[in-house]
Amino acid sequence: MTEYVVKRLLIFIPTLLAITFITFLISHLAPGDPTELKVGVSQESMRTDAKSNLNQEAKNYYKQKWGLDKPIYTQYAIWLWNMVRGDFGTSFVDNRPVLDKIVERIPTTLSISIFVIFLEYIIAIPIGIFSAARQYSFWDRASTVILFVLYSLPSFWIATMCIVFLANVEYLKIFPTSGLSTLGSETWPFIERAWDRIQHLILPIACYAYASFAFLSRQMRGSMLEVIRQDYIRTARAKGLTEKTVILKHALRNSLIPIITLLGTILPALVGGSVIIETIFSIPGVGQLAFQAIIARDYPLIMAELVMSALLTVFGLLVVDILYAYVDPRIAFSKKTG
Amino acid sequence: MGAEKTSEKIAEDLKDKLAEDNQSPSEEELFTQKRDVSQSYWSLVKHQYKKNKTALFGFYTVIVLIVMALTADFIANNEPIYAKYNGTTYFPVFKEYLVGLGLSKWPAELLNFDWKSTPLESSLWPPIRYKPSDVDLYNSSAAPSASSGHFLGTDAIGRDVLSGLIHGSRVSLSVGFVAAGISVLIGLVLGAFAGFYGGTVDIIIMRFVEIMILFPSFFLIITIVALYGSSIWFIMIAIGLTSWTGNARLTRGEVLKVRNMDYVSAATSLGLTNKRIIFRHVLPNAIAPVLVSGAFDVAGAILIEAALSFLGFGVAATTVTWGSVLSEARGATESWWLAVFPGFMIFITVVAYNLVGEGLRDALDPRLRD
Repeated sequence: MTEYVVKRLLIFIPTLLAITFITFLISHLAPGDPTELKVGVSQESMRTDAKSNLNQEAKNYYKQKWGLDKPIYTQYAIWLWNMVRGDFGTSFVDNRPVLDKIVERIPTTLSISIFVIFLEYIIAIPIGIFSAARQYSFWDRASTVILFVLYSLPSFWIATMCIVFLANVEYLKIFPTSGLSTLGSETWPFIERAWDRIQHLILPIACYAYASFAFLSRQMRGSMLEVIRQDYIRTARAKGLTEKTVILKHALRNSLIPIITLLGTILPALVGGSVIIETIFSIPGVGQLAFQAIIARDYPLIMAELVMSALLTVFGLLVVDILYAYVDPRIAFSKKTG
Repeated sequence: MGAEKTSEKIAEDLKDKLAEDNQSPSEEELFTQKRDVSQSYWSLVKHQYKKNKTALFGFYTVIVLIVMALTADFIANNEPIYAKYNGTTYFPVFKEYLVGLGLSKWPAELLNFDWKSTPLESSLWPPIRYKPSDVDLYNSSAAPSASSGHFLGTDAIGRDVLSGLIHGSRVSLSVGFVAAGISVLIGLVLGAFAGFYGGTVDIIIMRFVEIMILFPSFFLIITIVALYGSSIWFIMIAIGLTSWTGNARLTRGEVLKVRNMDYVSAATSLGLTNKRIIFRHVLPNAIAPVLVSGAFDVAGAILIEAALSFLGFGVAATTVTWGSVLSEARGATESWWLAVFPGFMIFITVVAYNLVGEGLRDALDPRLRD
């Protein structure tokens, strides 16, 4: 098993090299100059006559400081060498180490994502089982239509509608508009603070969850239907087991296998989708940070975000592989010896 | 001899009886039966697709959207389609096209002419008298009402929402089609090469596919569009270049199925070039599943484009798109119409393409055919 994980990670290294190299080229060759954005801010304080000269000097200073004056391949080599040693550089915007900026935001994004995934599986699996067990019944048809609609609803639309209609004094003010907690709530007693946090999280979590929940339920139904048609299920029925036992004991386990694979795609997709949801609800997570980094042309931060999400994708795939081995004994990572 | 005769007779009797029972098929019926047998693969698919009501609904919605995008200038415009002014007949909307192509010129007095506030002898106006960029100063943030002519309201600076949505369908549909086209094309070519040649070519292409799958594509698209400028072409290319991996894998699988069939061996033994075999003989028989995925790709690309313009990364700020109207709702939460209508357009479009995709998939599935 360890051997397999190590092998998988080794294969990942050239892939990561390719991904970072392509993104490095794309971001650094783009028109527009990050030093201009930086210098532009302090422009006002300079005297007009010396402005252009000073400006140029300031730009050159930053270019040198950030290593942007070197050829692009050298820049990449330097970035790569630093990254291997765990140094992702400092942000162009506020000179803080990029790694710190990301690490302090990861708990927010990751805890929301994991909670959302948990919620999705809890709801999607029973719905999928129920629809499949009563195929073509009224509830099956109804849930199929509803899930299809949910699946096609753009999350940024639903999020905007929620803010406009449910968190707006003009219509209904049920939920707070943005952020994770009310300003000044730090001094509140614990229970009130927790309640405040829950209220802030309901809308974002609902908007995260519904689309992939619909997707998961459809997959669950499909995989259940596939399993139900197999011979061993017929055998189970033939020997007189109740339908409940057949579905929940015999069919369920095997039908869960393809659903578990989807975990590997849902987790990275959630973190990728966090760019939109976190921006809409002003949640201080990695998605919002990525959005800000791109707007500010903060190259080190962009690159670090990219490496992080690529690592997350690989991590997701690895988790799936390992889970697979647990649920399906037919899969083995190494040849059994002896 | 007698025995033979009786058996013949029995056989003849039987034939007659059978014919009576079945009522021998008329010439017409024979003809149609024959046609059924020789039906081509695609007409069979079409027949199967037509039986699916929801898929048909999706198809008609797509058609309506396409017609709307093509005729947007005639549905929402600040110029009349036909007008009589000072005794001369004009067709300003058509004329605008000709001027745009450099084939014609406006007379000096009609250049930047305000058709709306001029009394015309007779005229035929589009149902919505606003261009998406027209600013109606007296009706900013106006709620939907028929009397003001803003059927779906206006935004904070007085631009008509309905006109924006109608013209915005052009951006959405063209991004959807071109991006999905790029994705299908790359997928088909790379997938066909990987499947047909196998060996090293296959390994290299599939390694490349693996790299692209691990790429956080939405992040990459935002980066490209944000850094390289707001252009509809960048969006199309960025989406197309990041979404072809599924198509390549599908094509490869299909080509692997077809590659060892007799007719491919026959083509090889006839001495045809590999290029000709791949593009003329193998691909046409492996293309169907990729078309299904292409329909879903269109929906996906439209969603991504809308999300991009929603975040402010889309096409130029002056171009009105579904996503850009929706994003205005975030700043003006009292204008509910800015949130409801553009989102609904995106939703209905995505649903339509998804329905077409699902309908195609079912129609292509031989297990569901009777």
